[in-house]
Amino acid sequence: MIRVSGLSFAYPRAKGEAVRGIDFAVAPGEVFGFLGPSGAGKSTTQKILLGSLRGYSGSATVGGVEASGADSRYRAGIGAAFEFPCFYQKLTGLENVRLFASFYPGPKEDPRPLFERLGIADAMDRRVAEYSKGMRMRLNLIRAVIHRPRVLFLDEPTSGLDPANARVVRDIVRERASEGAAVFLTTHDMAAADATCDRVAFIVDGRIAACDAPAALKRRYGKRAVVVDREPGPEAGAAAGGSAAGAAAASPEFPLDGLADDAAFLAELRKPGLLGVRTLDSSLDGIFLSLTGKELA
Amino acid sequence: MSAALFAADLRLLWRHGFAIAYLVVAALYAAVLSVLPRAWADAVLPILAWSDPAFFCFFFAGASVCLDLAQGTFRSLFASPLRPSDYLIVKALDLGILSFAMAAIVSASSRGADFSLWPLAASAAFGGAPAAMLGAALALRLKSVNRFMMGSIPAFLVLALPALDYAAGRYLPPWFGPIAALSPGGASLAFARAAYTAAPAGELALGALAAAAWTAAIARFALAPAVNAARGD
Repeated sequence: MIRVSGLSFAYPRAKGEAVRGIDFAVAPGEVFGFLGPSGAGKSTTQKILLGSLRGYSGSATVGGVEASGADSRYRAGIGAAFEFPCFYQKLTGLENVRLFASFYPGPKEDPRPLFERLGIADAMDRRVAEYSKGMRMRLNLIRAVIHRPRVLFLDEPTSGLDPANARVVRDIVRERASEGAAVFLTTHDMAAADATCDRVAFIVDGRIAACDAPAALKRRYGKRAVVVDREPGPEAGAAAGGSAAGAAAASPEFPLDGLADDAAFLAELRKPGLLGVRTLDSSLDGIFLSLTGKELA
Repeated sequence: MSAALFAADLRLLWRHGFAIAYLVVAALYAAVLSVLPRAWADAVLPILAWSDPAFFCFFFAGASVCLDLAQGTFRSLFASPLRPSDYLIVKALDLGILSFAMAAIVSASSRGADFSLWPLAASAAFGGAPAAMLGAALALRLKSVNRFMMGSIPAFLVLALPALDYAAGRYLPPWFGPIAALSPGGASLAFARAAYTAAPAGELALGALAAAAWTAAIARFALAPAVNAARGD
């Protein structure tokens, strides 16, 4: 549905390129996370795919149509929720959604169930000026999905949301993907990316540094080993000066290769107080840090 | 063009106070006309009727675009299938309708039924279209109300050329009149005058052609590049 090939772009009067020869594709039904630090090229790529930036080299297509030729028909199949949810402040939430929905051809969803599901039904008839940031973020999602687009661009869709509402947003995104939408999700929220995305790409300095399923990346960047967690014995607490009381005690690491025949590992399992066995996969946070050299904001 | 956009834009004009401003100015104009001697009122009325589309469409279109910029709604508008030209035509149309209503109210307050409505409608159309396009294009470039208020003064002066010719034409060089008549606001004033006194059809037709040409030129050479620049922001 989305296909990007050798895409490069430089802003006028900029010293270097903002995007440097990137390649990726997003299939229908897939949630594709686009992760990277600020200024890495995420927004530029999204703007190009939305048809807002022209003059790029390479190819960027949505539904087989080149983004440089984006017209009303091209945009009719796209839903976009930007990081900063901007609405007409003097219109109500429902008026805003209906106005933006009116720009798209074809049948639309009834917005009321979405307002209810996202917990802002009570504010539907209030002016957006009275909405909190979290309410605007939820309204932003309603506006993006109300016309049932084939391609969804979501920029930080869970920003400013409490865990319960963030989960509802993730559920809606997954549902739209399961109905066949291709979702291009830009975020700094690695937990959200991990929970929502089928694949993620890390973009650093305009280049894609890694692209794969979150689980595959975590394995690739983690250790192929396990540790056994046990309830701490008196010796563990004493060794830690009592500070580790209540925390699990971890065994040494056991390599995955030959684990079934590893006598030390099997002996560790037989000790009393077994809590669990952990693989030493990396986390997306850790991968982000190692690829970008930058802490997450 | 979307009927929902037309209705929403009118609603926003009301909620942002533009419609109230029109009503207040109309009341002010009517009050001024009511205290003037009839001859003076008849002389001033075409300028007041002309100022509705020429000035108010210009400033209010600019202010309305600045409000969109301040609220950040353009990014979502530009990501939708809505064509910027439709969006701006709706704005110009809504402001033109308000201008026409205001000119009609002011005229009725001064002359009762002794005026023609269609020239006022033509004045609103031929004055409002280039003025609104110019105001919108400048606002997209200047990006804030404050900068728009200052930066739009040269364009405002160009729009005011017909008023200057109307008020002081006899003291100005002979070449000034034709330039003023063919300037972006010229047709609007010619039609506004025609609402109260007979006007040569040729003069009105020429003015209408000039206004249409100005509107097309502003849309092509000022507004379209401004929209493209704003789209990439």
